[in-house]
Amino acid sequence: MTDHATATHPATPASGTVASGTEASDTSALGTVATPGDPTSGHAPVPLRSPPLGQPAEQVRDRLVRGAQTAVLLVGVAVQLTSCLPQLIANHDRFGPWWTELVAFVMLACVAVAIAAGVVHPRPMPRALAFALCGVCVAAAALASMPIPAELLLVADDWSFGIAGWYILALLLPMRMRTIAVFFACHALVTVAEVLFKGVPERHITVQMGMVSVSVFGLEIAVALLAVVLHHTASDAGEAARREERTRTAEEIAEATHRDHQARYARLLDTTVPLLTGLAYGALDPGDERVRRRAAIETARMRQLFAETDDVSDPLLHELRAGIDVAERQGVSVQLAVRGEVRPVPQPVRQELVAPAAAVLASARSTARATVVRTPAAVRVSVVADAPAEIAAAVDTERRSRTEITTTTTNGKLWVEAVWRTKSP
Amino acid sequence: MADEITVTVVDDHPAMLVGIEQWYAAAPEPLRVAASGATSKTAWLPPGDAADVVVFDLQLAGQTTPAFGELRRLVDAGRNVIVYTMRDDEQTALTCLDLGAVTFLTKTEGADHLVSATLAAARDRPYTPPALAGALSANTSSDRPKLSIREEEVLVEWFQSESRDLVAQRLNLSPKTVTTYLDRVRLKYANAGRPARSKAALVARAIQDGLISVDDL
Repeated sequence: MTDHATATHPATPASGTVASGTEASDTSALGTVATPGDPTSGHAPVPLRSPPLGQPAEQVRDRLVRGAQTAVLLVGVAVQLTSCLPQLIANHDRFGPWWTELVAFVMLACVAVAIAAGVVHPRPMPRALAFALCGVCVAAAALASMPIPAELLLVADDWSFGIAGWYILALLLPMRMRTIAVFFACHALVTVAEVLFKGVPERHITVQMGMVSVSVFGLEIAVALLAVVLHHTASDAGEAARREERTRTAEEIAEATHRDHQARYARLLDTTVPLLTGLAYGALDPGDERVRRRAAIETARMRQLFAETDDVSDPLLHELRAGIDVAERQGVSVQLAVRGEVRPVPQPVRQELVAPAAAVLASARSTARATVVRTPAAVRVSVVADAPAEIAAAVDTERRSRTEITTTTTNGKLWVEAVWRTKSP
Repeated sequence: MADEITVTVVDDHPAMLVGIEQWYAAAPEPLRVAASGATSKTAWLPPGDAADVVVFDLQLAGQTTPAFGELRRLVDAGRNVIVYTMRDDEQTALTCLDLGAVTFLTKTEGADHLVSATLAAARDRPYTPPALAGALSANTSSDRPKLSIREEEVLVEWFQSESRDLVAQRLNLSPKTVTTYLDRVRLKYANAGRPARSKAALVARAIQDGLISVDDL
C-alpha cells in the first residue's frame, strides 16, 4: 500500500484518518460521530441517543388498556357483590339444586381474581388463558341458570347472565372488537339453547327476555366500542411520541453533520483552491495528465460533499469514508453512491462490512465506485475498482460471522460486496 | 435524414450543452441537438417543440426547488423527457418516474448512459441507468410495485457495479437477461402510479417487442 502511494502520487502527510475510521466502538444505533482527520472537532465523539423505536406506542396502549380493564373489572365485581350475591342467597331453597349456583358464583369470583392478577402483572395475559377464562365465564353462566325455570331466565332471578358478560369484556378488552363479539355471541347462543331446551315460555315473557338481553349486551358492547376508540387514541399518542423522538434525533444529527461539513469544506481549501488558482493563472496545464487526475479527484470529493445530506451522521458511511480518503490520497478517483435510509448497524457488523471495501479501495489503481444500499432486508457495502485480483483472495479468507461476502473479477476489475442480511428474502 | 433523432436540451450550463452535443456526435446512430436553452421555454417553442426527446435538468438557475411542475407539464404534453440532474437522492428519482419521465440519469453517469437513454427514449423503450436502479431497489413506499427476488437482485447489483458483465457473471445470467430483468422492473413502474402517455407508450412498446405479454399486466 505504501509502495503504491509513493509510486503514483506524492505522499501526503498522514493524518488521523485511518485510525479514527476504525475507532468507533459503540454498538448503539446512531452511536458516535467522530470526525476523522479533523483537528477542530478532534476526536471528541458526539453521543447521540438512540430512540427506543416503537416502544412508546406500545407502552401508551398498554397503560390505557390496563386502565380500562380495571374499570370494567370494578364494574363486574360491584355487580357480583351488590346484585348477584343477594340474589344467590335469595335463590337458596327456591329452585332445587342450589349448589350449581354456588359453584358458578365461586367460578366467576375466581375469574375476577385472575383478571385482577393479570392487570397487576407486568406482562399482558396470554391470549389462550384469556380465552379459557372466557369459556369459564360462559360455562359458569350456564351452570348457574341450570335450576332456574325457563320463564325466569334472563330476569333478576337469573343473576348470572349480565355478570358473565362484564368479565368476558374485561378479559378481551385488549383484543379486537370482532373477538369480543364472537364471545358475546357464544354466551347468547348458550342462553338461547337453554331456553329452547327448557321449553319456550309465553310470548310476552320471550319478548321481555329479548329486551333484557338487548339492554345488557348493548351496554357491554358500548363499553367495548369505547375500548376500540381507546386503541386508536393510543396509537395516535404513540405516533406523536415517536415523531417527537425522531425530530430530536434529526436535530442532533443535523448539528453533527453541519460541524463535519464545515470541517470538510475547510479541507477543500488545501486541495481544491490551489488547483483552481493554478489553472486560473496558467501555472498548471489542463492538458497535463497529472493535472487532469487531480481535477478528477477534487471533483469526486466535491461531489460527495454536495450529495451528502444527513448521511454523514451514520457511522457506517463515516467509516467507509475513511477508506475512501485513503484511496483519494493515493490518487484514485472514487465515486460514492448511497441509497436507502440510515438504519442502525451494530459495530462488529459495521467492521465486517467496511473492512473488505477499505481493502479494495486501498489497492485501487485509478478509479473505484463505492456503494451503500440499505433496505429493510439487508445492508450492502460494495466496491468495484481496478484493483489486483489477489486482493479478492485476501478478502475472502478474512474471518466473518455476521455477513456474507461475494467477490467477482472480470477484465481487470475487482468487485467485492459485503451483505448483512437482517431478513430472509 | 428521416431516421435522425432530434433532442431538445434544457440545461443552464453551457459546458453541459457542448458536452452533450459532442457525445451525440459520437453516437452509433444519428442524434442531433435541435434546440437548447436554459429554461423549459426551449422545449415549447420551435424548433425545440418538435424534438423527439427532451433532456431536462431538474435544477435550473434561479430556482431553489426541483422543477417537478415543468416536468409534469412536458410529460402531460406527450413529450419523452429524460431527467438529467445533479441530484442523486432516490426520492427525486422516484418522483420523476411517477410524474412520467422516461428515465432518470444523474450527471455522474457519463456519455454511454445518456446516449443509450436517448436512443431508448426516442423509441419508447425502457432504459434503467444504475442510479435509478439504486433508487428503485431502496424504494420502501407502500405503493411500490411487487418485484421478484431475481429482479431485486439484478437492480441492486446493477446499481453497485454499473456493469452488465459483472452482474451477469455474479448472478449466472447472460448480459441480455440482465437487461431484460431491468426492463421488466421499469415496466412494472410504468404500470403504476399516475397515468401518463409516456408510461402507456413504454408498456405498449414492450408488448409489441414481446418483452411482456398482456397477461402480465
